[in-house]
Amino acid sequence: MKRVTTPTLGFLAITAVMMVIALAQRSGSIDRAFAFRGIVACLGLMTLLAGNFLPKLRPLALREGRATRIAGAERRAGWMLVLMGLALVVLALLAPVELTRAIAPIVALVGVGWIELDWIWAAWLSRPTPGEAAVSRSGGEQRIIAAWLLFGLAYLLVTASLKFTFGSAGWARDLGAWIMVGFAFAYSVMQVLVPRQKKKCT
Amino acid sequence: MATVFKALSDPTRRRVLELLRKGPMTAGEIADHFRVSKPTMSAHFAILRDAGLIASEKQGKQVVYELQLSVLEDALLSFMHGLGWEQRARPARARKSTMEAQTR
Repeated sequence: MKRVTTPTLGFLAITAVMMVIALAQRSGSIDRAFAFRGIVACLGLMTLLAGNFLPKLRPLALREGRATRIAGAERRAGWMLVLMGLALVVLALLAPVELTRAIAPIVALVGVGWIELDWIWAAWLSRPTPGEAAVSRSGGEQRIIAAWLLFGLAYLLVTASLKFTFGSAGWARDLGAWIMVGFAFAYSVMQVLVPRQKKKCT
Repeated sequence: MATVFKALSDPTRRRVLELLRKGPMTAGEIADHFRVSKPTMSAHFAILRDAGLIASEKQGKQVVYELQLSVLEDALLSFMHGLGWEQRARPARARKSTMEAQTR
């Protein structure tokens, strides 16, 4: 459980900062542009944090299987999230607000979409061969927590990106929901298709 | 972070991590790549495990190790590898073994 503590606390701390920024904007203490930069920077930091810890938490490796291929998919997703996070932080701190408003959602949506496709592809390549049996791996609880953190991040990135780009339009919310369904689908396909081998545990 | 740097400071341990990039391996399979005693190898494994860089799972009589690097640790390892620290470490080790031979 030790490994999950740092990213979870990091997530909570960044969420708290985001809430403070939102409240400060609502009360008029900071202007809209400053709040926007702050929220994008926080999202970037959150993405960076999740990406850094993702290969360590192994959210996909709930069961035994094609270990190297699955680890590769997790590693690529981790690197992608770190690069996305860095890009978001740099945009938030250095780029003009309008440019950030235009590019940050593209960065986030393309990144999440790429991870979805990569996981589906890895799951397809790792599909089981007939006769392979299953057994769960140890450390399942922390992997489930890691998966929930990842879903939380993906939801935040997708909804924030769509809101920044299209405002609060109904169809944008629907699109966000569908992207999240796609993400959940990629994760589920990965869990179902990853082959499992019987092993003797002591 | 200090434990991570300590773990990565040794060329043998870095080599173990490079081997584990190919996939999970048993302790015996990893030890076959090194000319060091089993207790020394176990000590290296313990340091890597304490730093959280590898995870171990007992399967029957064997212990299987797998890589567990964060992106930052991965980048750090690749950076050290890219700098050619493995090559630089060899003369130092050769010097050490010569010194050990002389003291004997």
